[in-house]
Amino acid sequence: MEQRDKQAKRDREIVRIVETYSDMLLRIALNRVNSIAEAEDVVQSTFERLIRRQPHFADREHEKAWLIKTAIRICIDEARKTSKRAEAPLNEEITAAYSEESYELLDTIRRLPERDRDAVYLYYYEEYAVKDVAKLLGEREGTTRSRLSRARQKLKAIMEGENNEQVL
Amino acid sequence: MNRFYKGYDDITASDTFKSRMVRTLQSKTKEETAAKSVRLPIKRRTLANLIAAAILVLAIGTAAAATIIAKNYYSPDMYMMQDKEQREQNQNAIPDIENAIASAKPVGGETSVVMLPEMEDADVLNEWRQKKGQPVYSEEDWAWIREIRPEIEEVLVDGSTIVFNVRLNTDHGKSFDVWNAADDEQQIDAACDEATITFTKDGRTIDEFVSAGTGINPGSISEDGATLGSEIDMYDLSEPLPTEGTVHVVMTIGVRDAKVDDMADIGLLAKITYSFDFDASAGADVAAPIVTERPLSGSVVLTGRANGRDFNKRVSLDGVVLEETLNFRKTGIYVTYRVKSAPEEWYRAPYEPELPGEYVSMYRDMLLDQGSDSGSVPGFYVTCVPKDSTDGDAVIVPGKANAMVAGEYICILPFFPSDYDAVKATGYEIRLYYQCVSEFNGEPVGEDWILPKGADGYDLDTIRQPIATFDLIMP
Repeated sequence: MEQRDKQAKRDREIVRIVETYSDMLLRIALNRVNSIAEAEDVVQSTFERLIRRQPHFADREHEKAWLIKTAIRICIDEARKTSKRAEAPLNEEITAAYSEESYELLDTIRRLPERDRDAVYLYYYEEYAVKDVAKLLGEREGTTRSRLSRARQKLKAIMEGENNEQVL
Repeated sequence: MNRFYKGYDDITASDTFKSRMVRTLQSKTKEETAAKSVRLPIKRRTLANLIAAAILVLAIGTAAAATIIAKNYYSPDMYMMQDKEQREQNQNAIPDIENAIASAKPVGGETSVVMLPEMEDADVLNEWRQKKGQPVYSEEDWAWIREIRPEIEEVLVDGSTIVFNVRLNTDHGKSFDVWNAADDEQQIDAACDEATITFTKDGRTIDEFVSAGTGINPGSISEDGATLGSEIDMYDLSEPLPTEGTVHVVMTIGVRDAKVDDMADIGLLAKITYSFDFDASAGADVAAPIVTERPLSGSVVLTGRANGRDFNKRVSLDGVVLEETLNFRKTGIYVTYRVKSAPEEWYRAPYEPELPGEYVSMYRDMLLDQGSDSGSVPGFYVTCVPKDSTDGDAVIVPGKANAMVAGEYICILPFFPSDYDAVKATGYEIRLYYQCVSEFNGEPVGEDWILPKGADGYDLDTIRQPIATFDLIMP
């Protein structure tokens, strides 16, 4: 009976984690990998690492930060350190799965260097402060600040070049 | 948030994926119930050692590997996850590290406790308790927390972090076993919520508010208490820690009711303030650091990725100067590389208009990227092998990459003071490697290869290219 209670508690915790963080982790992964399938693999690996390591968190923000950092690390490791890579066409898949607006966003963001994409997402979408983005990316605040500034200029140039409205 | 970024709103995980994920993870936890969290650190270490063993034997032969094996993948936090007794039982104790721990000579200080009713927001906390289906705080239920007696057990200073274990002595130790407690039992968790360190330097007293990674070590929980392990990262200190005198640490331990929330402040039951001192000389290097400029030369084919496309490009290393710093610590030899200077072109526009980015972000990041916790970083490897070894192409990971500062690569070589003589006699060298794409769909690729547009379902193979070899100079 006691064992069942414990398992039920774990099961509830897993549902909470998956419900709370799947979308965020998928977005982070899609900033770096090329297909939804790859992105889902990153999300799964991130959750599995959480379950396996059972880190202790000071609060929910700490938990979220750990998951973000882990997902980025997995993306880096999988895409650049391993000896094999798989690439799927982004266009059709994303267009079919998400809105045109989402496709345009990903298409534009993905013209930035990978680290800049992380910074842009965390700052503009997750609304982390610059100092927190810096911590998440493991770099100095000044580096993040210049990364964001550079990314903003590039995005602006890309969008103006494509005759889009100036929304940045 | 401006409208552009709202495009992320529609990017959501499908319900099918979430359901599959929940089922997969739940099934995994059921399978692993027997291997509870208590044993996890040991399991990881064992696996890491097995992998390391295979690689080391390839690279330096069985006899030499055996002498290093227990030390490989050493990292201060993992080492301190087990208390002294456990380390000895599991034969994981490393004499030099034990000496480093002993040299800190921590001395416990005062303890004070603020219980929930004495907190400014007691009413709010009690409201949250009720919202979460828990009774309001009662002294009868929780008075025992007031009697928790923190006791500093061990401090390990490794040059960049202070790792310390504080035993929380109580007759209710099992209450910390949140993961395994039954629903009708009290379930509490503890973490170091705040910490300050104070030290004297050049006659000035310096106070630093520091952040600490922290948590109860699962393997430490017993009837008579639990051990709170914490780690202070010192990269952000305004002044380096001194190597003489005393360092004073004040920590505030948040004790939370896990049934309310074991992570957020709404679960707070008590705040325990505890202080301890340790001998600053514990962090002193055992020999003067050696700083060497390492000019690179020649050229290498680097693989980059931009716009979702991989590309190879031969890049000249002429004019690239790395600064190598060897720090000889009780906790290992720390090798740090920084790009000291690079030719102007590294900072110029991309080599091909359709590939955004600059050399500085592409190539320098690739040379000295960061973020991996597995001992190497994308594209860049440090190996440490006996001098003139011809087996060096097998990557041996000599320690743990610890890249907390942008543009720096730090590697801990598992050589401790008592190893110095033997290492000197054998003669080791540090080798820098780079990894690049060599094959696309089974065909060799050239130096100016670029991934064809719309390429689908392909395999890439990579090779590692040696960049440079340096002697490891022992003190």
